Amino acid sequence: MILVAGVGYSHLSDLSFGPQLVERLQTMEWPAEVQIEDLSYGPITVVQWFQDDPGRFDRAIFAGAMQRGRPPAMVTRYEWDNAQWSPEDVHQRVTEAVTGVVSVENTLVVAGYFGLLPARTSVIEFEPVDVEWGLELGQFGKQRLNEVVDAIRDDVFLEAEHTERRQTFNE
Amino acid sequence: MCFKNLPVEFDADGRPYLKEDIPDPYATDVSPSMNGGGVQTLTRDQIEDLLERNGHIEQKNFDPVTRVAGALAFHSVVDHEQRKVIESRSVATLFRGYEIIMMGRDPRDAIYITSRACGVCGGVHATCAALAIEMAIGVKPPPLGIVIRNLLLALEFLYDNPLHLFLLAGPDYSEVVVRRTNPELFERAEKTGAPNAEVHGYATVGDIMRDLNPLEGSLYLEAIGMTRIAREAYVLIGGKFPHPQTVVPGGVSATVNLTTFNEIYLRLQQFFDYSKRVVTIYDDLCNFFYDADPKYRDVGRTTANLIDSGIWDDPYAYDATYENCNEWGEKRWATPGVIINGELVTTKLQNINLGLEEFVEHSFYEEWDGYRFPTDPAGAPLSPHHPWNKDTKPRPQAPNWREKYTWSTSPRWDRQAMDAECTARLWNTAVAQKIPANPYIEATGHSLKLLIPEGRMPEMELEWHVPDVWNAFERNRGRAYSVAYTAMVAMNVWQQGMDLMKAGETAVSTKFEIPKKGVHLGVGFWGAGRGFLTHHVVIEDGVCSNYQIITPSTTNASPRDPWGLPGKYEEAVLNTPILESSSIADFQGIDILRAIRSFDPCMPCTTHVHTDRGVITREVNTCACGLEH
Repeated sequence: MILVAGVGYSHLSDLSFGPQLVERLQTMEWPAEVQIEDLSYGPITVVQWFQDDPGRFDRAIFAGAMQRGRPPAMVTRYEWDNAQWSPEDVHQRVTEAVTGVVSVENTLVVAGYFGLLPARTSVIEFEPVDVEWGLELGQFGKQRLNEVVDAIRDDVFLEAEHTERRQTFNE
Repeated sequence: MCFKNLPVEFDADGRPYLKEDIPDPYATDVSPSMNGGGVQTLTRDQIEDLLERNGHIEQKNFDPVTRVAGALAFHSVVDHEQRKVIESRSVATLFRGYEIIMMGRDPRDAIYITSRACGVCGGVHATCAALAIEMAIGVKPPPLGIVIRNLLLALEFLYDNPLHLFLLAGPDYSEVVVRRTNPELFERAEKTGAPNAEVHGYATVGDIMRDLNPLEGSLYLEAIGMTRIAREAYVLIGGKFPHPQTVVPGGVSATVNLTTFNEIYLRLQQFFDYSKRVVTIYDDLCNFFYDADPKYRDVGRTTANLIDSGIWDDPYAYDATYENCNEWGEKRWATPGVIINGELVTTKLQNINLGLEEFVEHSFYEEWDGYRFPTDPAGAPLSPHHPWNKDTKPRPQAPNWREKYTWSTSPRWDRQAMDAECTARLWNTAVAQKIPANPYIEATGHSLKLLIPEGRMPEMELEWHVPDVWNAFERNRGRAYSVAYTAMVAMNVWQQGMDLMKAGETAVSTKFEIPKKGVHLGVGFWGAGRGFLTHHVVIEDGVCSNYQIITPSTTNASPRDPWGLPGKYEEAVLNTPILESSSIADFQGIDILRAIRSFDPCMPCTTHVHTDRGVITREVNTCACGLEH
């Protein structure tokens, strides 16, 4: 199974990139082995969600807005590496998590520490431009959302196709 | 006598009135009486002189203070020779803008907007807002609506208190921390048998400390698991956690039936045995430190001034009116009250309200001029510094220890710094002896007896005693007993709900309308897991013309007041001896941190804080703890 997850707060313009992405993806047709989830309900609860069915996913794609001072509206994609986080970092992220902080990063740090992420976990980050209250993404956020939707679809459909071919070949 | 500093007296019938013949009754030019409490502070000039002349005196800044909710920084000056703290300043580094966001809005928005003030206790803010609106517009929920609200609050605390005990403050007493700061203490703990081993299962205090280790200790991991149980029970009615969708003025908007209650009971009962273990673990831990070195009794010590507005309403007494608040307040499962220097001085909500003032001399706000409400809705005198009269006027500027240095204000009661603490609930309830008759909780006048039902472990009586010293350890111990107390209140409330449903009293809300004309005042007297919480609202022609929130952490984290007197974090740290045995080079400041964390700081608005430059969703530290002014 492939998990495609968005993470972020609601109603904060570009900062809500993750939940907005999930909302869009959930209106589309997907291969049976793809699960779209909004995992914006707090890292500890996400950990417990994974714990309910460990090993369910072979692969995960997490997406959301992260303010890192990159060029505005930049989209970055990278493979998640949990080894970079020290126990002190993780402990601090757990503290943040239980006191209400929701972000792609602390969700991944905490879930990763507890060994719940698939070995193949990638992250798509969007550098937000509009960070005011707002029900919709800003102009650049909307544009990037379309691009990220296309990229995710290309990615998972390609993988689904390969999987299907492999299965046919093996048969 | 209720008030010693405010110009308020009481007639023969107990009605408050303003003392006569005082030209400017609420002037701040006279320093208040501290009733024998208080703490010595040095001036900035003295501090700077000492820092300049003595190598053994150094600044120790914690920016941010970790393992607390939100953005808190702390500045201290430590005298390593005398082993004491000579200066302390508490700095809330982010602006709480909810008072401004609420201006001009439909009051019902307060439930959903102010809930976002905190990522832990959103439900308590939502409910506090609903209470304030109910009072302002005159709507009383049906009994089951009140009972369900009580149950939600208890479940929220069962999430909140274990978090503090084992994820936030708990690691301060863990093997990894104690080994680093006081290795001799850990050695002693390894050899010290745990008196309550039969209950909690740990043979030695060292074993307890080991399981308090962050991330790996079983107490740490178990607490994370318990949060799930409390959350699951909460969302059965609240719909969401931590921001419920079903809290409304006049009750709740959820459909609740016997199945819902049974589902909740299945989760609630898991806190019976957990309570027994939590309490006995903290009893053994606190007593171990006292025995190891009696000076630990001074860590985080403050004058025992505590305030609480009481929580968990009587479904038949609560009528949402200000006029009757003294009566319905005293029938709560946690009695409202103010403790000054260890003595209970009032249990009346009106007195609690009249005594409240908020000062901004050392906060990043401008003073306000208005004095719109010289009296409360019952005609009793209000200060111009009272929340109903306050105008929030933020004024960001460079921090300066002599002037303004924090976004927290200085709430005071009768012009004294108060500890807004969940232990205040135990203390008031124990001493006042007004708690309704029930099978689980007994107030003795000096203690609170808690009869915890059988789970896998047998039935057990726990007894919390009014402490003879008020310090970091007693705050933590009180929070541990609060888990048991909350669980037993929840049991009583749960039984009330079942009885109501069996009797066919299944209505959970009352219809209401927001009046389109006129001025209406309301106050929500409620509580967060940490302690005292109020929301004051003024509804004018259908919208909020004023909204003021005093959270427990605003009260506890407050800076100096107009008389230069410190807030509670500051006082607690000033009284804290340095008992850490590590070298100056490796000084961690653990005693200072234990003092601060014992308050369970929650600097609301770490998330969703609005600034002129946008919304902050993750902590940004702007503290200037090292500044030299």
